[in-house]
Amino acid sequence: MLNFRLLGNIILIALLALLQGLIFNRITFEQAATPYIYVLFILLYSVKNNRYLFLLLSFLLGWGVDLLSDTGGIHAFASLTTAYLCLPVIRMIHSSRTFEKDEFRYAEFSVGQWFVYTLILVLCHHFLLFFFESFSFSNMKDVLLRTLYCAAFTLIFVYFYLIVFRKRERQ
Amino acid sequence: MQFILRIIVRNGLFLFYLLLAIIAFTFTFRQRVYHKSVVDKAGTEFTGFMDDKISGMTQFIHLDKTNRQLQEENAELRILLEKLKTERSAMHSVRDSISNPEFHQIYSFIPVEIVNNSVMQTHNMMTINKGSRQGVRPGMGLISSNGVLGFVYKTSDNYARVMSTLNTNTRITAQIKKNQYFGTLIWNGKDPRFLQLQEIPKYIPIEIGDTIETDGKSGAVPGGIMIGTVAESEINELTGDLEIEVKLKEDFARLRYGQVVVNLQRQEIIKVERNDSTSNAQF
Repeated sequence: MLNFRLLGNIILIALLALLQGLIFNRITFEQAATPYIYVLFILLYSVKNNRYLFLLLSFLLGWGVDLLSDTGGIHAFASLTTAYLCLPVIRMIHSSRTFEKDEFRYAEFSVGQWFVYTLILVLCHHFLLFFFESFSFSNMKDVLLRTLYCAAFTLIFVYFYLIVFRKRERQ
Repeated sequence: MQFILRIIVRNGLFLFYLLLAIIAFTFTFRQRVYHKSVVDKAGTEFTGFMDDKISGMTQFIHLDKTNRQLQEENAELRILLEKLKTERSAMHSVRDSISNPEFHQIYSFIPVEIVNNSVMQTHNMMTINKGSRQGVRPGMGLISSNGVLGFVYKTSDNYARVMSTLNTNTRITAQIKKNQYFGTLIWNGKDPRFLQLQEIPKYIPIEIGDTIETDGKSGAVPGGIMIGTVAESEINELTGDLEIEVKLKEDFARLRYGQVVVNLQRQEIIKVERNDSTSNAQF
């Protein structure tokens, strides 16, 4: 059962990396913003599953995107770090006082919590991505601006996905 | 001893994260020097193939514009041809006057299609649809009629990756057309319409609108290709050099076609330069 799920995840990763590298990298808005939709995998990965495996899968996903867009390892690093921060962020915005990792489901999130959760992680991912791409503090303003533009664009796709495909689960 | 083990077990997830992060960093920094791994080559071939297919599908949208550009380029080349014809007939009559170094340098061109391109990152790359089988080698320049597009940095059998001019690591030697002073063109990673020309001393007169062209010293790109015009120039008090903003003639956001420059005398140049350095070392 576990292996079956793992295989499914690996296929999903390959699909997401291909989608990102071949299609979504080309979708640009005014030459300033690109959506990075593969973050969805990290946002929606079940908290109950093995965390080590989760880190490894996020790393592989980022690396796949890196291979396809020839960027070395910056996507790998950004998605790895986002995956590492995923659980602390959930713990932070979870409303009940006692947080049990094994009992948590994304369906418990209210709309507001979804918004904050996706916003924090997407901003974090994009900031790391662009910061390590330019790798200097001198053009911080541009890095921050690009982070904002691209995050807005990514979030549109993320919400589109959440509203259209996750509706059943929330009800 | 036991407490060390306990630390490792308790922070296992963090340590695992660190390990993967270090691997990611290695990939990032290795990328600039070393491109010969099997994964890399297969990746270039695969993305090149996919980009080619996608580009084939979207190509017809741009046909109108491409046609017009080709017409213009044709006209320009025809003018050039006429000029050369007259120059050549003049040469036949006065044989001693061949002093122009450009006549000794022989270039050939491979027409390529740019199947993937970006202008938004700080390290922009392109993919072209010709590779080592068609004679494209790392280090060759890629040009269009409107300027230098970049330099080939890795090839697979049928595709090649090109480091775009809009890449903060790219350096192009360029000169001011009217007085032949040369400097280095770089991109600061901000606006894809402008490049920065550096290392021009401040006593050199520069006006807005002056033409900047390639100087052909590197051998990767022929001389005399117009890159752009001066849009702004001011003196950098720190270095005493001029900081010149160059408005590009080429619109990088809508590139479709280019030519890879093959320098037929490159081997000879390399040989001469190598002899030079070894004889210096013996002194």
